[in-house]
Amino acid sequence: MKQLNLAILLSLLCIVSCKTQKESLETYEGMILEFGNSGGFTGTIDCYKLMENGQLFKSTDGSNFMEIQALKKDLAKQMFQNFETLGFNEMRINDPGNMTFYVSMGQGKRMQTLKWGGTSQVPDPNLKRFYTNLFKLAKQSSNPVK
Amino acid sequence: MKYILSILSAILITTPGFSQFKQAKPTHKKINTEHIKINTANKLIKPTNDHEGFDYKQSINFQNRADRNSMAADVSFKRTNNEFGIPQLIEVHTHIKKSHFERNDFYQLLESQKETLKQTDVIHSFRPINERIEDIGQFHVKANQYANDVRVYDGQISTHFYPDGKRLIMGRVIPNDMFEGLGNQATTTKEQAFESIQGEFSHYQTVQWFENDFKQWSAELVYYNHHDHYHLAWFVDVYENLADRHTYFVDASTGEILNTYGTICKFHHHGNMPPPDGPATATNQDLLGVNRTINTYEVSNTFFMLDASRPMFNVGASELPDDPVGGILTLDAKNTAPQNSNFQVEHVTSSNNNWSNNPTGVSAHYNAGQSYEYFVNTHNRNSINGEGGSVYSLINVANENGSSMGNAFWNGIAMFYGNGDSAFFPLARALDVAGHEISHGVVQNTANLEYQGESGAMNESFADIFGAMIDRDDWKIGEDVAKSNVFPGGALRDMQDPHNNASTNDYGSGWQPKHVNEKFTGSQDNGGVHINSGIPNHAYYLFATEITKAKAEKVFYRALDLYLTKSSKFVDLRNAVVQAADDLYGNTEVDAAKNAFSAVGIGEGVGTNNQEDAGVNPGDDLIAFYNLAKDQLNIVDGTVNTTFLGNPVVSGGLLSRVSITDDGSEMVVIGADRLMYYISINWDSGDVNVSVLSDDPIWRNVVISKDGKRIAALFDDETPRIWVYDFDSQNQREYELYNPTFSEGVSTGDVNFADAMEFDITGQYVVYDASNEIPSNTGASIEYWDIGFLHCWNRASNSFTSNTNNNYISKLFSALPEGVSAGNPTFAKNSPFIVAFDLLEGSNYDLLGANLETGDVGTIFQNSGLSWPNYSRTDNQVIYNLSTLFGDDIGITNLNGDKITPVSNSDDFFIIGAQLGVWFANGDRNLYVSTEDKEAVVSNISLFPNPATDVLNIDIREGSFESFQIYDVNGSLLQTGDLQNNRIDISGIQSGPYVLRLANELNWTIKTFVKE
Repeated sequence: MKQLNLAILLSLLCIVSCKTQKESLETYEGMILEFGNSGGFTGTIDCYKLMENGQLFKSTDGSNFMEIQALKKDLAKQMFQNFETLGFNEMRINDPGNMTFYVSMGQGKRMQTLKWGGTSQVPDPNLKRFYTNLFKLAKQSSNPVK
Repeated sequence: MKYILSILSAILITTPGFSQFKQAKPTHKKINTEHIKINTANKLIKPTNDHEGFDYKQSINFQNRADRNSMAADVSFKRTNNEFGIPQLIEVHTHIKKSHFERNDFYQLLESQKETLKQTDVIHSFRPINERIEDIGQFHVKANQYANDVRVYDGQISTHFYPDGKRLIMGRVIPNDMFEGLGNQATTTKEQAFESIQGEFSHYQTVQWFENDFKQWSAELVYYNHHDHYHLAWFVDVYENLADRHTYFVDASTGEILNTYGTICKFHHHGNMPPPDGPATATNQDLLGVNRTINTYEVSNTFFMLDASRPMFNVGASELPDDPVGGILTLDAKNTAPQNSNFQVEHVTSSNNNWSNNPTGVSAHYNAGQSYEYFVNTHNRNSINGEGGSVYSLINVANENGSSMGNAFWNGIAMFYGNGDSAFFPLARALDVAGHEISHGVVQNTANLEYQGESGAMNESFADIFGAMIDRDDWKIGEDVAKSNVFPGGALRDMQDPHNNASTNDYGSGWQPKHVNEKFTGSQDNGGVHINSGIPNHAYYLFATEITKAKAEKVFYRALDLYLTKSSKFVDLRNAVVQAADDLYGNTEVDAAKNAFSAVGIGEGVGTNNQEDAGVNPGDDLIAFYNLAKDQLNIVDGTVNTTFLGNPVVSGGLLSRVSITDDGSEMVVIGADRLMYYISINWDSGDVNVSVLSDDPIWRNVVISKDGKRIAALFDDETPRIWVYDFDSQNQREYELYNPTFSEGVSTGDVNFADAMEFDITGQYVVYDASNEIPSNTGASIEYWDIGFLHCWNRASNSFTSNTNNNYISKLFSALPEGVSAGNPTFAKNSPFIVAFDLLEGSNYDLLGANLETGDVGTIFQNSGLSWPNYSRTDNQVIYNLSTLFGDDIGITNLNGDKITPVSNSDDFFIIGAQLGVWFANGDRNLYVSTEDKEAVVSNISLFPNPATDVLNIDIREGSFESFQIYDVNGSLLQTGDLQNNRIDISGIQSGPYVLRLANELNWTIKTFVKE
């Protein structure tokens, strides 16, 4: 009986400790993947911040972010890996236009940002595809977290 | 004793650079701030005045400093230099007055400036591509730059000749020597270059618009700048169909594709069509329910939304309906998004020329035609590109997920309209939306204003301005598409009142700044391009209401077409508009332009509260300084500098420069023991108290705000942070330092630590210098110093600013040239838009002054070491550290009225054997001119009689004011009260000049008068 209780306790501890710890955007110090678009006649902003653990945040003003439904952790991790695998960490594109799209990854204030939408540079097709996939995932997760 | 700089500097031993003079990169452990205690009880004297002040305008970033050393007598460089040190605007005043010019004048002008332009042979370097002679006697030449008979792709100038002798050279010129050794013979053919491009298309398999064969291409050999190096390259233009143009740069030696740009969707191709049947018209309702007559085109019994009725239409060159030349074509995106791979575009068609089922198409098509007509009729501009190019509108554009798009945009070639969402009706509905978007195309084809920061806000503003002139019945933007439940002002933007009936800073509800002191400084929205456009929008409104819309639109168009360039800023806009007003009209319009821009805080003039000086401190001139051993703090009379008032005030090792409140009653300093000390002086009794403000031995520098309400401090661990403490609330906040940049992806390096600091007059901003480090691939990192502004306090909310968003730092220079450092900044005592600082370039030490409003930079003094400058009480002098053969002293230089340039030969020794002087005074003054968060307005009022004896009458021709204050010329408040019957009893004040300030709930204005 004692052994059983210990096993249950250990299992509970494992569940507790194995569960992904929820992070606050204000205090989070890990890697962030940020993406979105802004501009046009209305100047609308639609942007997202993704943590490595899958937590996802949305903003329509670029500064106040609301947490929405998280992505699966392995999917989020894959997106972070893709950013580097596809060479975006070494890419330089800064061409904002009337409608600007961007993807950004980094930590704290050290972010690698890729912007396109202007008429000076054509974005890598992989970048556009990466952005579109991210955006679709985010749109699917647009329910706010209770 | 006067000294001669040139003699001394020639024989001085080289002094250490910033990084040597200041401390090396730290290795200390980071200090934990949780347990810091400030002994507020030791702060003996509390200021009683609850000053309200004007915002310090932190917005101007100098891209590069102005050329300071090579000004000829009749030549000035008004704009910043490019990265090669060549001015982007040269103004030449000749004595030749004439009204007939020819190409020879163009070359003579360039020849006279060839050294500045870094050219050896201007005739071979510049080839005119456009010459325009105007009836008003002006002559304009645009020219491409060449080297070795090869066009320099990014080298282009425009030159302007005026009858009064003035000449302007604008644009981008690359020094000749950049092309030495490059040669002009390609080792690959243009056909090989084209082949390498085709190979590249395999990487674009998912991009559907490359599915067809190419129809046309061309190639030109150019010098192309790729990653800061020029390459001999093939400039290849590929046209796939009517809307698709792609440009490639292919290295002419290696065949490597260096860069590519230009993209546009393609619409569904209808295959081989029979010969066209011709134009037609139709009348149907648009989205507003108004009947519109539109021009259509019939091809084989099918009507297309193609307007081929304009003079620009070239039927011979057109392949209809797909490829019209000079047509206005409206297309249907079928609720797809251009970002997605399934994006499709089809013609809008009708079998019977009845469009009643497509009011969206009617609106877009009609509005595109109206916008086209505006530019032709008002500005003699032949379509968007000025050459009769087709105008494309795409309707039914969706979001990425297929939802309805509440937006419209210009993508470089076409206008895209969504069908609206919870905030907007279908965007094609409104004429000003079409006018706005087509104007983006005009901007792109004229000044091509960069879409970020101030130039981006100007891009947006020009789109709004012309949008409002096309739909000119009001000053609102988007009033026919914005839903009032989201936009309380009933429009997306309002040029007359950019606040648009929304809450302050509620950008989502349509609020915009109407003055530079409200400018958005965050990074989102490409640096607030849709937000800060409210400032030039409002300037235009003020200008147009003063001189009529008909004149104002011509002036602004001329400014855009002739004078502005890609990286222009607000101050350039002011200069361009003033110049254009002078070109087309006269003094009345020029003055109206100046007043309009001044009223919104751009540039010089009256009515702005960020250009306004605070009143001068009426107290005594006093100088605090250290001895050379840095163990005594002394104070001397600033007018009779040999008189020591306190000798010393404080003894003991001192680490930081002393910081003093505006009334001279409080000082803070860090001792050599790393403790924070507080010194209070009672100037009536002469009592001096020294106490420990923080007994934690962790400090390296501390400064106190002018009103004594807060301090900012640096820790001895030399980490990149500034710690701020507010005495009233007894709260603290820490701000991590970073290097902001609008050009994300471009590294400006990491901040190591800050060093010198000073509060601005409002207590909201701290100017500081900081050591930065840029990692280098070669292993040795590049270290440099630069100057930043920390926005740490919000006066309106009386609280700290947020330290979580990356928008609390701005920089004096957004990019210093390699090998250049700037540091030791100090504000002018009475002009919060003026700073002086050290600039170190190689072994040259310059003491510079800068006007943050105008962008002007002046060399105050060329020193042999760091100056650590400080302004005098009246800002007519600057004192600074001076190292000469005779020793280390404090020097002084008299300043001109601009506060950034010296009076010739006025340099002198000031205090012998001293360092780190701080000039201060011990009087009380109203630190700020404006109060609360009211707006400065240029009011149509006059005072009479003036001079007055006992009663001052105020003639207010527009609006009303409720209260008044009277200040003397020192800024001291003498009289205040409610304004009754527009009369003020001034019998109680003495004879002399005074400033009258009138205010109501929203606005304030000032006028001067004289009491007899």
